[in-house]
Amino acid sequence: MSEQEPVLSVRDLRISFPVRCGPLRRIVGHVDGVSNVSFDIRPGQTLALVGESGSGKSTVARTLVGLEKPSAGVITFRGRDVARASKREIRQMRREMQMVFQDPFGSLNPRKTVADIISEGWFVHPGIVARNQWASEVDKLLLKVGLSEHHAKRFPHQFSGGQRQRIAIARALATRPRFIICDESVAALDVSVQAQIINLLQDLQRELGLSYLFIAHDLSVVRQMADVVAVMYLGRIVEMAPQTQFFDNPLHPYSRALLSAVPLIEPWRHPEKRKIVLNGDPPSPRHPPRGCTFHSRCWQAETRCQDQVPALRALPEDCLCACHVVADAFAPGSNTPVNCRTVNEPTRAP
Amino acid sequence: MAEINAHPILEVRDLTVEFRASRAWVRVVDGVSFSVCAGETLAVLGESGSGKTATGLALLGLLPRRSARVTGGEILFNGQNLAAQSAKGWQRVRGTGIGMVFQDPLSALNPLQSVGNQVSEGLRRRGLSRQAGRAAAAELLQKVGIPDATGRLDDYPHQFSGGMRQRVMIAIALALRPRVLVADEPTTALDVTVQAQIMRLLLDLQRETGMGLILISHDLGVVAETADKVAIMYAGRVVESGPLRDVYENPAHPYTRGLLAAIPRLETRPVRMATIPGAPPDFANLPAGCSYRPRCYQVAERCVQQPALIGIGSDTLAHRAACHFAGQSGE
Repeated sequence: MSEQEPVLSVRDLRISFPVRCGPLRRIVGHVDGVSNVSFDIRPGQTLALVGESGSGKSTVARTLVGLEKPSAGVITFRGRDVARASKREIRQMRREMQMVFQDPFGSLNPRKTVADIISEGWFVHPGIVARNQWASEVDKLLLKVGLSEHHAKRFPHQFSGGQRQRIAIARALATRPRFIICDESVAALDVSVQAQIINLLQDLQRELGLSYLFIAHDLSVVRQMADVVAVMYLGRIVEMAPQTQFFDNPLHPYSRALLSAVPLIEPWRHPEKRKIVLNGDPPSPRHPPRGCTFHSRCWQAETRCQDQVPALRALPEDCLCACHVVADAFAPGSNTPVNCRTVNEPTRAP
Repeated sequence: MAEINAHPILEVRDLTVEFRASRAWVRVVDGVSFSVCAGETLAVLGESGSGKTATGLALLGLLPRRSARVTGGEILFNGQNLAAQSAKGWQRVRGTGIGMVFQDPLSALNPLQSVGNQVSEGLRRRGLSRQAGRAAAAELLQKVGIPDATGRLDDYPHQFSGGMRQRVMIAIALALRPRVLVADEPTTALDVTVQAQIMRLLLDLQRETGMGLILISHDLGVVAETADKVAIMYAGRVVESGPLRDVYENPAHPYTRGLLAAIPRLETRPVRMATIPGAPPDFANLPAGCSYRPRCYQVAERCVQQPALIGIGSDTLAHRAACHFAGQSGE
């Protein structure tokens, strides 16, 4: 399976948050924000983490850059275990791992010039660029992200949303990272600008061999960006599959509902597409349903789904899926044809 | 969609709105015209800063009084020009004539009042008793799909999820049975699975009540399945309008073409995305003539003159675009 060592490897990650109660804010219990999350990202590859709000995708990102502490699990970045790394190694990792946030208005310091914002990483990590090269290096980065040299002395408020996101990308590139986390990086942009940023991210990936963890809720954008798609529901990965397999043939009922809910631009051209409208909202992570966490909204839930947690099982074509019904269809000796469309035909679809 | 009464209930003609920017007044809505009939859905589409929300607020007389003003045009509702009326007059129209659903239900709902009170407020102001108001609120909440509606009347907005709050907003807007409902980005703050539920709910309610629906959105996909006709806005003007399918399949304005090409599509394999160069202009210094000129691929000398909306194709009244090249061979 592995041709190349993964840049980032996550195993059985669990992140829990304390639940506080009463006037003294005493800890009365814990809630698992993320549980049993495992994935690898190889050099030059993009893994997309998709899911609805509250599914834990941003929590995973925050943990990777050290903003949250995992309660269990191992994060390995370029062969080193993050939990056991020395301070020096952690500094090195921070240099090689950068993040581009969703909101280009909140993530840039309004009182610093673009040049200051971009060169801050060199200040923190000396040795990347010699001091007398800073100005010319800033210019190079600005050109690389599609801005021009004369933008260096301006302040963030003088730029539009798309341009600000370019500045945020230039800042991320400044420390010459191997791996960039894009947390909803194109979600806040207008359509006409969003496509520009998607192209820019892809060009940079090809040119610099970057790996991305691309966190998004918009599946149309994910289709353009991702090599591998992982779907999260209530803190767990319920399906992970290569891009083509995922979009052509989603396995997990939640993935199918999610994909069917994306509005098509020209619905009249796809009369065969049926919408699966799920009932209700995602349950609260404080009181997750027993068994499969999706069973409360699933149209093909069986009795076992209410008390047995389905494991994330490996299926053909590098797909992983956590669903009892799907696993049965793929089991040896099953006479159901291994075509998930027939397996998952919703019975309650409108 | 079922039966569209050809006579519009709401008609906007040449609406012009200005906002105060540090010293000068800046025109953010410029000569916008459209109409909605009973049972019909109009989508007003545009990017941020295209003037679509200002247009929506003007329809309900909700523009901030000190910093915005309607400087021209008519808003005809039931044959009466709303733009010219007093604050008192607006109060008579809001809710009963035209209702509104806002984008962010958390900031649009009052956090200190129970949901039941907020839904029945308009009814009680019009003389319904407390008891009857409560019953009506329960009925409305049930209609918009809130489970155990009676039991949740005394709950507060923070006790509801995002999708449920948006349902509460819709219940409030529907309480006075408006003839036209304006929904400003009603699903933008919601997850896709919930978005589908809310769009379906709006359509079902429209079918039941026969109201006209104006969807204001930036998302060409969300409205594709619901709207009968669209008006595409750019820099405060309608640049293209017409039956949704005509506009989507035969876009005549370069901006509409660019937008449709730049949307990532779920149903196609990844390709390098088409883009529109540049960014939407700033209202304070719009280019003279066609405001799309600096980003346009077929710009010519005559584009320094403001293009008027002209008819495309055989049915010239339906599909119109504001481009000097519209109606010609295309690319």
